[in-house]
This record gives sequence, C-alpha cells and structure tokens, in this order.
Amino acid sequence: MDYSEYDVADFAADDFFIQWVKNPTAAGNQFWIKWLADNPAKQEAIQEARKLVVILSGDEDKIQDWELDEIWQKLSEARAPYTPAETTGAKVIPLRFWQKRATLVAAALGLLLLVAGFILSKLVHNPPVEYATRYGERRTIQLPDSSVVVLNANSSLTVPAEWTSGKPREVHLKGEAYFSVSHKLNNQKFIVYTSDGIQVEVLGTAFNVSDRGNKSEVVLASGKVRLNIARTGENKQVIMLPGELVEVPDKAGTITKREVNTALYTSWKDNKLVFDNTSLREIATMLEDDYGYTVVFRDTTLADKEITAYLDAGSLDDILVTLSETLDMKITRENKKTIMISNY
Amino acid sequence: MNEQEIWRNFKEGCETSFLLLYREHAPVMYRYGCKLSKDKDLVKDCLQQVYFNLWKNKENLGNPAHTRNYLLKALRLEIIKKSDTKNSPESLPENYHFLTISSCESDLIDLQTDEINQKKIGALLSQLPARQREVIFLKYYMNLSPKEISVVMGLEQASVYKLTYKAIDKLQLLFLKMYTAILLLVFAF
Repeated sequence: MDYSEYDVADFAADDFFIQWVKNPTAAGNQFWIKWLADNPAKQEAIQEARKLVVILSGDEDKIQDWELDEIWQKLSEARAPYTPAETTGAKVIPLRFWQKRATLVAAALGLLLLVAGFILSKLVHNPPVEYATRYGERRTIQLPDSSVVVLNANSSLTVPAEWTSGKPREVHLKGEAYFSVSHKLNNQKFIVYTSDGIQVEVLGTAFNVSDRGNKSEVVLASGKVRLNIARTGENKQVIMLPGELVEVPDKAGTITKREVNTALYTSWKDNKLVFDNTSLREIATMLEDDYGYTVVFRDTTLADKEITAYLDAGSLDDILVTLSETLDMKITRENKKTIMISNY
Repeated sequence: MNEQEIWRNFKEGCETSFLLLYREHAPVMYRYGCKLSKDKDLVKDCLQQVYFNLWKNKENLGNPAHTRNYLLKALRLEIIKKSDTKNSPESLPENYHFLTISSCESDLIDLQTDEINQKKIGALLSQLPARQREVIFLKYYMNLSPKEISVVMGLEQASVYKLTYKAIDKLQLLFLKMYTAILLLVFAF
C-alpha cells in the first residue's frame, strides 16, 4: 500500500490505519514507525488522523445491564405463547385443578403443605449440579439466573441445585470458563470460587477465569469485579477494571495486574484462537490444558518462537497445520498423547 | 460453540442459544439503534420486537453469513418502520442539535490537557447528520467493511465511501471552529 499521497482524511478512513490506532500490534507499530521515518513530513497528518480515529471510534450510548435484563423479561413474557410448554407445566396443572373445587380447599392446602415440605426437604438434600468437559470439548451452560457460562475443555463447574435470594450466587470452577453474568435488580452478588482459593466477586459483567497449572488468571471484558485472594498467610483484595488481567501465582509470588487485549483471552469461547506475539511455549501449554496432549520440543529454542495470528479453532489437526505452515516447523501427532515439534 | 452452531440451535428452539444471541448482540444493537433514533425507548421497543420476531419465526429463518450484521439490519428496518416518518431510510429523523460555543472556557481547559474527554467526543459526533453517524459507527466502532456497511444500510458501496469522507471532513471543520473560538477567547483577554 502506497501511503505517500495520503492526507489526514485518507489516513483516518484507511482500515489498516484504523486497526493500528485501535488495536496496536507489534507488527503495526513496526510498520508505522518505519513509514514515518521514511516520510517525516507526514508526522503531523498522522497525529491528526489518529486523533480523528479515536474520536470516531468513541460511542456514548451504552445500555445498562439492568435495562438489558428488563427487555429480556418483557421479551420472555411476550414470547411465552410461542414457547412449547416444558416439563414444569405438569406441576401447574394439578394446582389449578384443586383450586377449582372450593370444598376441597382445606384438603388442597394440606396437600400443598405436604408437597412444599417434600420439595423443601428435597432442596436441602439436593446435591449440586456438576458440569464437566472432556479434552477438546466445549460447553455452553445457562444458569437458573439466566447467566451464561462457556466452559472450556478439561474443566468443571459446580452449581448448587438452588440459590437462595438475598445470598450471593456461588459457583465453583476448575479449569477455565467465560462468564456472562446477569445483573439482578436486588444487586445479588455472583461469586466464582477457584480451586486455589480465589474468589471473583461480581454484580453483572463478562469475564474469563482460568486456574490452570500453577497460576490463576482473571481477565475482565466488561463491568467491574473484585478478587478476594486467600493464599497461605495472606488475604488480599484487588479491584479490576475492564481490559485488565490479574495473574495470581499459586504459592507466594507477586500478584500482577496489567492491561491486555481481552480478545486474546476470551476468543476461545467463539472457537477462535487469537495470538499476538504469543510464544510457542504458551501455545503448547494451551494444547496440553485443552486437548490433553504432551508437547515435546525436539529443539528447546523453538519454544521461544512467537506468532501473531487469528484462526478458526476447528479441529486440533487444523490448528497444528496452520501453526506448522506459519512457523515453518514440523509439527506431528505421534500417537494419541504426544505432539512433536521440530525443525524441518 | 461458534456463531453458526448457536444460530442453528436457536432455530431448533434452544433457549440457551437464544439467550446467548441476545446477550452477545443486544448491547451493540442498542448502540447502533441510538444512531438511528434519539428516542431511546423507541430503540428498546424495537430491540425487543426484533428478538420477538426472531423467536416467533425461528423455523422459517435462513442462515445469515454474519449473525451480527443480520441483526443490525433487522433492527434498522424495525426502527424505520416504527418511526413516525415515511417508510424510507432517507427520511430518518435527523434531529441533531448544534453545539453551542458558550462553553469555550471549559473547552480551553480541556484542550490544554490535550485529552479529549468522552463528553466532548459525544458532543462532536452528535453534530454529524444521522446517516453519517450511522456509517461512522459501523465503520469505526463495529469495524465493518464498506461492503458489510452497504448491506446493513442498503446503500451502494460508493455512497458508503462518500458518507465516510463527508463525516471526516465535517469533523475536521468542527475541530477548526473550536480552535478558532478558543484563539479568539485567548486574544480577548
């Protein structure tokens, strides 16, 4: 692309330029720094165009979570006649039947009490529901409060049979999941417990939690969350803002917080893989966590190679072929357990 | 689950997939709707109507290549239908207001920090005519290609380019006006 004749408006309308301003990558930085060095007279035009792109990309009309929930409620009522009756319908019919017979009201009440007692006792003893995924499997779960969880491979989520209103909604996670939590009008909290003593506390928001390997990672896409970190001999709270990643090592080690491109961490839920200067070592860890393979590097220096790519996470084979072509390396599946990476 | 799978499951009546479609796309549809009409309640009503129609007609729906663009277009048509104006995209309400220059002093303070705050951005953008705002939103906020924009808005691609350049020019002009006003203010003291 020849940019030498471009003026401010041309830059501001150019898609490559826009993407660089909005999501700068190392490759983009390199290109524009070099280009400016070759075309120093355009410095001002670039500055002006950058400002324009930032303004044009802004948007004020945000809808609040409670407004979204309100519309969803109305929508649910409106479309009820078009939704086939579910199994719960069976419970409703006997009640109506009894209500019609005034002479039997007392008996009905008695029966209802019995039924209620039965249900209550069942609830108390009702075991929590566990959702689990195998290697290479992904699952979308709708929770009773209409929150949605996308559970990544080799992970499990435990949800109590019932949440009591007024108490926080609590779930337990092993592995990795993306949460889109519905906001309750009574500000009922939602808490994710990870197996290494971290609590992610939210009101209504979208975020990614992973407690794989020897560290936990929380990435916040939107909204606001609070982390309660309980490790040996320490109790800490961290408030997170959108776009931030917090990494908590299992043992002592310092807790770090940094700004990231959240798409890199949440794209797996849409069956996409996004790498931005991601090392092959990190990718190997992902393959081990999500697909259950052991990755072996014939030459350990290969693990430091970096890749920037956006690809469909169709099958494992597709991923391996793309990686091998992009990095010009030999990547083979030895058996059902090992992936070998070597030079050609 | 990818976009296509979610869409297929939704067509088979899967509640979770429908909710996922709503969660994933409703926020951005609302933002888009606000470029088409300043009446936020109308936008919400239309949003609800679009999803209601989806659910009601789910058995007869096709398989759009891009769910999001399909939904944006559906919302656009719904808003045009519900707006009191005639049924043509050309007659979308263009009730944009002009920024008054009375707040020059605060402009000066803001610009001195060289940080354009969110409010100012909103004020500048709201001075663009509705159709320019719409193109700008789809291109810069949603990252749609000119071709995708032309499909959503039902325009020729050439018109999309034209509207984009017009909006950029207008914005540069507004910038200039603001700077001039500030300079005058500085000289007045």
